Amino acid sequence: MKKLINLLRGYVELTVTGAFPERLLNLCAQNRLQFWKLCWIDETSFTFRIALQDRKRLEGLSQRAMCELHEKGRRGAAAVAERMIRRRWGFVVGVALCFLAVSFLSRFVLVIEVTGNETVPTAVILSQLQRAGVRPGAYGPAIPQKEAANIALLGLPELSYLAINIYGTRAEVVVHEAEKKPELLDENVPTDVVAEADGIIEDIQADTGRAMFQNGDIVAKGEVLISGDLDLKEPEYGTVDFGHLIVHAAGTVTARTWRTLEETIPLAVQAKEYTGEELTDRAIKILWFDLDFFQNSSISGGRCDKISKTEQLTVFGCPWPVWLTTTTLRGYELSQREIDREGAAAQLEEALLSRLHKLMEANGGEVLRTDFSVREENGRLTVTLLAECREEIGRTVERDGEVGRIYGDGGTSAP
Amino acid sequence: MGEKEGLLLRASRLFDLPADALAGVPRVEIIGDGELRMGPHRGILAYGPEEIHISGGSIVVLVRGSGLELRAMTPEELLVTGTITAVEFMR
Repeated sequence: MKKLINLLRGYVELTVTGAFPERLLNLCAQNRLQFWKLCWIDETSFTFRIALQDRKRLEGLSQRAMCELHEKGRRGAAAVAERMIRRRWGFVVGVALCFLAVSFLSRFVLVIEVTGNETVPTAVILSQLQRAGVRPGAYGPAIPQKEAANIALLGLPELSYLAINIYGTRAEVVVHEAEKKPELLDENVPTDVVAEADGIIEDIQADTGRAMFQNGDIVAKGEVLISGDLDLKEPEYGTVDFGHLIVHAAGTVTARTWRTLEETIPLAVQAKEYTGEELTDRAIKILWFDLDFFQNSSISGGRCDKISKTEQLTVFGCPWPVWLTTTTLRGYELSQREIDREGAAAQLEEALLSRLHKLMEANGGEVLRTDFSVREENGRLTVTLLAECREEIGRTVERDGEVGRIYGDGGTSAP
Repeated sequence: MGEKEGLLLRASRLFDLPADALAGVPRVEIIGDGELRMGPHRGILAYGPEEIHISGGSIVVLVRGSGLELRAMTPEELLVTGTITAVEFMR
């Protein structure tokens, strides 16, 4: 351990010559100058090692002891550093400048990482942050993190929380998306529940209001299923009409429905035929500087596909603020072509099923049976889907009147 | 030996007190035949791999042996290593 410390501190190996060289040793001891590896050569000289920092003090002591010092060599980390500074000062200055540059440049934000977003696109958050001053190339300590987060939050109502944490060159943006406010049911609005689709009622439950149909009844689209107009019952043999009470009708109506969906496609379509002409354009973006190598290149003739692919430079999994955009232009000509009927029909069937399932998902229903029919007319291929479903068909619609008011003979005039 | 030192030495013997602490008399400690510690000392008088003369104030300590080396030396204490064959005291 001692050896290692001496090596790090750096030491000088010296030869001492004098009439009484031991006097120098005594002086060293008195002045607390540590020495080691003492090796006697003859009566008047010896060699020893001393720490580099004690070299100057030893000079004075040797004069007092009337001894001559001859330096045999300098070793250790401090000695190497001293030699480097003296002989290769350019290299040392370069290293020092590199160190300073790294310490200074590492305070700039180079990468912004957004975490926690699911529905709000990262690009939208980044664009809002840019307006608040958080962008690649911004000086980290100058970013008012809380203030910038508040500014960005104001512009993003879809977020409930946004925090900016800066770790060196990386800015981490943690967001929490806001939960959508549920639609509040305003029970002060007079409503009816009407049928959204034709069907046979399987179950009707009126929470408020009067059920107009019974299980097994056939209803048409738009018919009132649960009425918000309640007829107040008069006592038996009564002669006075108590009138109608207007309420906010609510309830569930499950019915068996038959949905008809249709998709169509032209039998002849314009298809692209690639001419084989292809042009690749590359652009590099470093922080906010764009370097476009083929700025004004284009394909002769006009029609072309433009495919752009942007990749961010990543070194050992760490993203850098360097983006390479490769744009490929592929020239094509349009030609009229007949479609593959079977393939097109299958594609349309798939699209129809997808539409139906989305519809059922929205209505909380299920598909019981499906049937497809394909026909060609007027140069188009049409696929029709007839589906038998079980779904909730009740939809609340506003009606005239005022909730809680009685209309008719028992109250005011009818609405 | 000075008058004061002699008095202190006699007093330490009379009161059974450690002489090195009271009178500043050197304490020589030998571990096996390879290590000799001495303190306090007044410096080296002669140095060689076979013989080292150390001043202890009133006495001179002669360390004889082979491969003798002065490993550490402070104003208070010194350490000699090597193969020690004899230690002599001279007045």
